[in-house]
Amino acid sequence: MFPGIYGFRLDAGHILFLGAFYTVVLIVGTTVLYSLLRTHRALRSGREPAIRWISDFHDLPARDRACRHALSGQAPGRRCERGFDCRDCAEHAGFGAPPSTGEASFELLGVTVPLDRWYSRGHSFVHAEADGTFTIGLDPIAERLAGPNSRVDLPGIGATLEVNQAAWSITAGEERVRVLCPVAGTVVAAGGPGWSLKLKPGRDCGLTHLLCAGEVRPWMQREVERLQASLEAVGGRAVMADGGGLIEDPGSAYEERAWAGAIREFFLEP
Amino acid sequence: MSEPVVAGVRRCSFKQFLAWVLPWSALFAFGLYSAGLCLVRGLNQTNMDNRFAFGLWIFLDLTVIAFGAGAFLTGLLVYIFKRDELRAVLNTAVIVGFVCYSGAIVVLMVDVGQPLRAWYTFWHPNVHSMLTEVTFCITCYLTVLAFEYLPVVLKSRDLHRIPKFLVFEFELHKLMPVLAGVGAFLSFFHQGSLGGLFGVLRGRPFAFREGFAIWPSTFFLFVLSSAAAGPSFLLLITWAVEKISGHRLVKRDALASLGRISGVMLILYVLVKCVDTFIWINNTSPSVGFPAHRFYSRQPFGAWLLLCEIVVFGLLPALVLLDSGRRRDLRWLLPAAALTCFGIALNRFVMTIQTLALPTLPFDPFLLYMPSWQEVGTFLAVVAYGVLVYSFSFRYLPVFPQERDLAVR
Repeated sequence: MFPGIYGFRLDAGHILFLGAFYTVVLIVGTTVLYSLLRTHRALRSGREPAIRWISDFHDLPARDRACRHALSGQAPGRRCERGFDCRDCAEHAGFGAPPSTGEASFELLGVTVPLDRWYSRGHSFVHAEADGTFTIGLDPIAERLAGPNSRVDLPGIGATLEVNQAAWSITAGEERVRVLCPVAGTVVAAGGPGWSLKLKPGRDCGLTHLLCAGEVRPWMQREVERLQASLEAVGGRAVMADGGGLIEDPGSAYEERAWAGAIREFFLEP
Repeated sequence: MSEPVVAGVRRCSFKQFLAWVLPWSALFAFGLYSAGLCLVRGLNQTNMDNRFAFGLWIFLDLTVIAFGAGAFLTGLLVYIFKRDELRAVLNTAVIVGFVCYSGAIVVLMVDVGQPLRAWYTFWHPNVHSMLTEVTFCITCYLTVLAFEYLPVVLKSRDLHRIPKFLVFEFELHKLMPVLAGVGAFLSFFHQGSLGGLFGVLRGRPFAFREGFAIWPSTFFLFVLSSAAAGPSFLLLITWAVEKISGHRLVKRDALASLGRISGVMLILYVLVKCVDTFIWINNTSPSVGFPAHRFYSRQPFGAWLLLCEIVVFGLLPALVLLDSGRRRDLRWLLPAAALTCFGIALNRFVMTIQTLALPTLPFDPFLLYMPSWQEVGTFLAVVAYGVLVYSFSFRYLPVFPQERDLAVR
């Protein structure tokens, strides 16, 4: 094994065989140690939320990674590869501005969805305030699904949030799900009527990755179908036949585990 | 009642799962008892002796290591050659590989005996021995497989919530091409050396072969045959899990792709084996004083066995798997994959059992070997261990990335 150990000879056989063996051990050991080192660095530099979203996004089923332009009918079948962050997408600008509907809001399943704001794929909205801050909260369908008895855990004032980082969490029953932050910024207020956070926008605070105007309705309709499919996949009953509306606390109508699984998927949490 | 223990997919209730694992656990416990007897009381618990030193366990080792080759081949094709359609079976390939190699190593430990002295092999290696190469390579490769399996385990719902595990899994996954490359290198050599160790047996003319440089032809035959068996075994396992769980797990093109790889490797293997057998019959065997037909005069090891190995379990499934229309039809694909696996197992049986059964000295008798119940018990323990590890992995880990998509169609 080593010089000085009984049986070791410095001949071609030993050098070739043990050389290959030590090289393999060195490569495997270095690979694992390098992974550990990178893990340590990533944790220290606070990259864990970004990595979590990349990992979560990668684990989403292909149907849940549909590009916004596929949902609006501009590019059927197109899939997003960028974690729903269109700011770095070279093709996004080529699709042009979202079509305007001329509506101030629309109704879906008995819930009013206002169109004076942007929506993120993680089911939060962003409303630009006159004072330069952004108001952030759950979109109306998500708000209804969370139910009236859900508990909300908000970040403290002064917390800095990045796009698609877990901004706050809601606990419905025994299940806790995180809500992704739609924009980057610093929390200046938390917990108001109809909203959850007020953010002072950060330096890189574009809104081009968020849905607005004519994109919202097809996306929300698709999200309702996705919820239905999730409930069926985890053993729930068929839901929301045409013409019905969402009840005040939809979760109460389902077996807790089935509902928890569907809600997690709805909020893009694998 | 189903339970969403893996995100977005259904699994059977815990009671059903318990009913499935309990019989396998009982079998595993029986196997552990058998192996324990062999370790404590010695190899007199087996029906092997100085003449028949390789038996059921070596047959098992050679077979499961060939079946486990799907892991290195799939890793190589996905990470190095970017064959993305195989990502659907990558996790299952790693689990099957891990089970096969760890099972083989444990059985080898029982077979060799004295596990407390196992480190001697590494500390005082005989670098001219094929078995030393096998020992080093399969130990290293099991380590590589463990690191390939680790990200799958860390993806489990509870562990994924812990930031350190999440980031480590993410970073380790990024370096998987390195481990896949090392795994392919190790697998090539130990699959080959397992064959090579028969090819260098000058005292066993039935197995002895000439070859290239220090490697007899059996070295290359074992590499090719394991590369043919691995994808077929993976295909069969995936199909069996689909049937048992009642869920579609992978798209059919992934299974067809596995079949194609298996078919290409199998036809290469059949061609090389035909050439090798021709040279052996006409040159190698007569040159050491044994006309080849004499090896097939002792029943049940007649020439039919060779014919079956090459034609029924070689050429026939290879032609089916190479036909793009037929391999897309499960009614053709599955029997062809099963024939491939059976053929490779038969080859390992021939190399192990027939080689040792045939007399080579004038006073040697023809021997027939039947394993003792302790040997069979240990064999079954490996099977049960494999089923248990796979069952727990399937239930609690996200093994099939396409399952969620297929569930909603």
